Amino acid sequence: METQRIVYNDKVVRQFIWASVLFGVIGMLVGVIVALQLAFWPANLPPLLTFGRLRPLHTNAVIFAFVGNMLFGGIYYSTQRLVKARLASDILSAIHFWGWQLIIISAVVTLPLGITTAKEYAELEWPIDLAILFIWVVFAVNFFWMLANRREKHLYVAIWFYIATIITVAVLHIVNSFEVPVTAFKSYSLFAGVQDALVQWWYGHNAVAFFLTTPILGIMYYFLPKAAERPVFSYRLSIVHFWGLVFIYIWAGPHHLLYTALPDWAQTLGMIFSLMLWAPSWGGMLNGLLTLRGAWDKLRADPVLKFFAAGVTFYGMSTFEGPLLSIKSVSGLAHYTDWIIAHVHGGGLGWNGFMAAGMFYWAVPRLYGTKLHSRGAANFHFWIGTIGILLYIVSMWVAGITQGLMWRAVSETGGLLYPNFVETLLAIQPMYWTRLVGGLLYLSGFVLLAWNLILTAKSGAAVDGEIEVPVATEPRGSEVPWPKLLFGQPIIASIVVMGLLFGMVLFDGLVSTVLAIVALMWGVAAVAISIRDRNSEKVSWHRALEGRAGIFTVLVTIGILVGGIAEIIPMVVSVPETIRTTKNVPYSPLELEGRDVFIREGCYTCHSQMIRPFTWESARYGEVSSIEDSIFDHPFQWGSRRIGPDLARLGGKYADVWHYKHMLDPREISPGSNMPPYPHLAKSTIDFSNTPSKLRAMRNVGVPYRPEQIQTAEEEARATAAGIAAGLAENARVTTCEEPGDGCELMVNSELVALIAYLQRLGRVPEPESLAAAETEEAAR
Amino acid sequence: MSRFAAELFAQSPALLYPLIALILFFVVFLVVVIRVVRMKASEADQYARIPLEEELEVPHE
Repeated sequence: METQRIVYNDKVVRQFIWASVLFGVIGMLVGVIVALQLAFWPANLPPLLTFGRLRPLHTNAVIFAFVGNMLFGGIYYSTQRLVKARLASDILSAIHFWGWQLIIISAVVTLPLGITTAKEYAELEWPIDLAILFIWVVFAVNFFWMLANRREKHLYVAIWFYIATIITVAVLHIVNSFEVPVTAFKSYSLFAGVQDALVQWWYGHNAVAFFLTTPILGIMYYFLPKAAERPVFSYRLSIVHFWGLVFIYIWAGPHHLLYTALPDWAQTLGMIFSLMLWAPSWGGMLNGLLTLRGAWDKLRADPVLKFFAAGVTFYGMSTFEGPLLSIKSVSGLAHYTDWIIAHVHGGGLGWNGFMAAGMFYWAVPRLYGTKLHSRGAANFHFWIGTIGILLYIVSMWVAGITQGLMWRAVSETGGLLYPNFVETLLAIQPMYWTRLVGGLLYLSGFVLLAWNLILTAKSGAAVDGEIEVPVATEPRGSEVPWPKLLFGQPIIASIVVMGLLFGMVLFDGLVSTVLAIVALMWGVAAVAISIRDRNSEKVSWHRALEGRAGIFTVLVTIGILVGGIAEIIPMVVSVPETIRTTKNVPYSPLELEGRDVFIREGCYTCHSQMIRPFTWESARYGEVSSIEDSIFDHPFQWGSRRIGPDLARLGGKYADVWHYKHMLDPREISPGSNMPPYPHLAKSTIDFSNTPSKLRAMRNVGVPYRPEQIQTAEEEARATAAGIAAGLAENARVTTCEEPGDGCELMVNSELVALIAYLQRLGRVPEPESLAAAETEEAAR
Repeated sequence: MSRFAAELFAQSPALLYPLIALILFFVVFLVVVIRVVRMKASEADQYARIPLEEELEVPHE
């Protein structure tokens, strides 16, 4: 038989691996810095290097730069070998690599500058969003083109996970990035309040699922058998694992919003599907671990297997903890606390970090045709990494549960036992230091990895994998035609069963029972027929499907779309009605400017704006939050974390001068606070000539600003600012000024004044003239 | 309409979507399980061995 030689494109794999190592070190270093900032506030260096601006940099760097580069490298390495084809285009591969690095660099520049959408893990502004989309499309084309050129007919299960990743991340990114640009670096989310919260956490949760989990599972299904030199424990289990995850994961997003103003039905769906995730996740974990059956002895010496075994174990741990935290009563205790931080770092450091390390230690020697420079160093890395993770997780568990219990503790008379929020922060201070030590240990291990890999590469030379394959493959005409697959027996049988089940829900009594029985009989008959055909010569439907990348992709897309659409559409439908009936009114121009300062400084990284329906929560913060409170919020600011207290009903709680002094030096007002000081806001001014365009953009996304309000926005903002500044000058003897000069303490049109206006508005609806105006307009319509 | 459906849709008619999706998920999952149960051991083994195929020994560039 005539054969041909295929040389894999391993150059781009090497590039991605090195980029991942580099950004891994940087991302984790930023992590250590933000951990230090929480334990020791002077580590905040305003204006650029405060916690609020660096925390998004940390999360983006480790997710998209470290894990992103790692998964691109892993996907390209394994897929070329699994399908016996070279990456389709060297140019596309290069664009993919360099484009992605450019996006990372732009994140490194823009996030500390405060250019952010304030949507977690999606903070990058709209021009970068477009760039991400472009590069993702390049990646998809390059990948599917390679699949089209494949010499191996069957798509190995790892490739299914990669396909799901490519499709889902694209959908998530596009939907969550619907935003209206105001300037070159500023946009407002298209979604309002509760909608935005749901879409954001549908995205946020599935970014974890389809960026940090499914591609790494694909990598596990390839590299773990390679390293253990034995096939995966159960290929059948991997199929169930795949479809289970794809269909269930997409629903679970609302578990980030339990006890919030999100409608109950969505919360319940999120919780139930999260619990269901236990099954496929643990199926996958066991499949990974049991692949090592008979190879456990190798674990003693082989650092690669050590990392993989521990990584998969941490996967099991995180996917146990995730559903646990999604139980409403557990969420009531854990949400907004450091327990969540413990959870994500179990996944991030344990699963992603260790799987990356295992893959690098396995692949780099092969990519340079040599042996690992130092096994001892790799083993040492494993141990300090593990100790680092344990210190990190355990300290954050203790911190989180302590916080949660202190927040809800009430005395015998019913009052809060710890009414001062700072008390609950001081209680966990030792845990913040312990976490810092854990993080430092983990980072040191990773630096050791970098050193080890560099010396490994130096001891060899770049080498690209090759394989020999038969030239002629079977002609494409012999494939099962796609309509036969798309309308195959299982699909038709399923549609009938679905129709019958659906009818069962709609009708009562006898009809319902009859439909249920018919559905059952139909289902049993379909199964029986398929079992009868089992040994026939016909290729089974799913088997044929597993060889057809295109149709497989279509079905995966449907799978991931149903959950998202089902949850998001009801919310999109209901919000306009809430806007029509709400007593709330849009922010005044100055408040809107202040809100943009709040967003820029990343205040949401420490302060929530969502009071949950618990007595201890309303005793501390005020009336429970409703959908209407945030109905004009683009983006929503519900937050996910309380390093500081909730701000949903902060308005009117303190005088302007309290806020003024607190922003200048938080510890003067609130001793023990770890909030960074923001004195520079008093001197940096707002260009109010942009305010009308901001109102206009808000109007475009559905906030009912009136045209005359937009026209007079600039004057109104200036007038309100002058009023607040005058009040501060009178009541607190603050020296205010219009122009910068000696002795000036507060500029009238400063960001601080706008921020105070916003903070004083939180949770309050202005009375009554704005309302009257709105009603007049309503009547005029 | 059944009482269950009436109560559900009273919250919002759009709750039809999650219902359809839930049933769709359930049925697809069933199909997958059937496929897996039917799969021959030899076939599964053959697929599971795909990653283990050896590459050519390539000297340094």
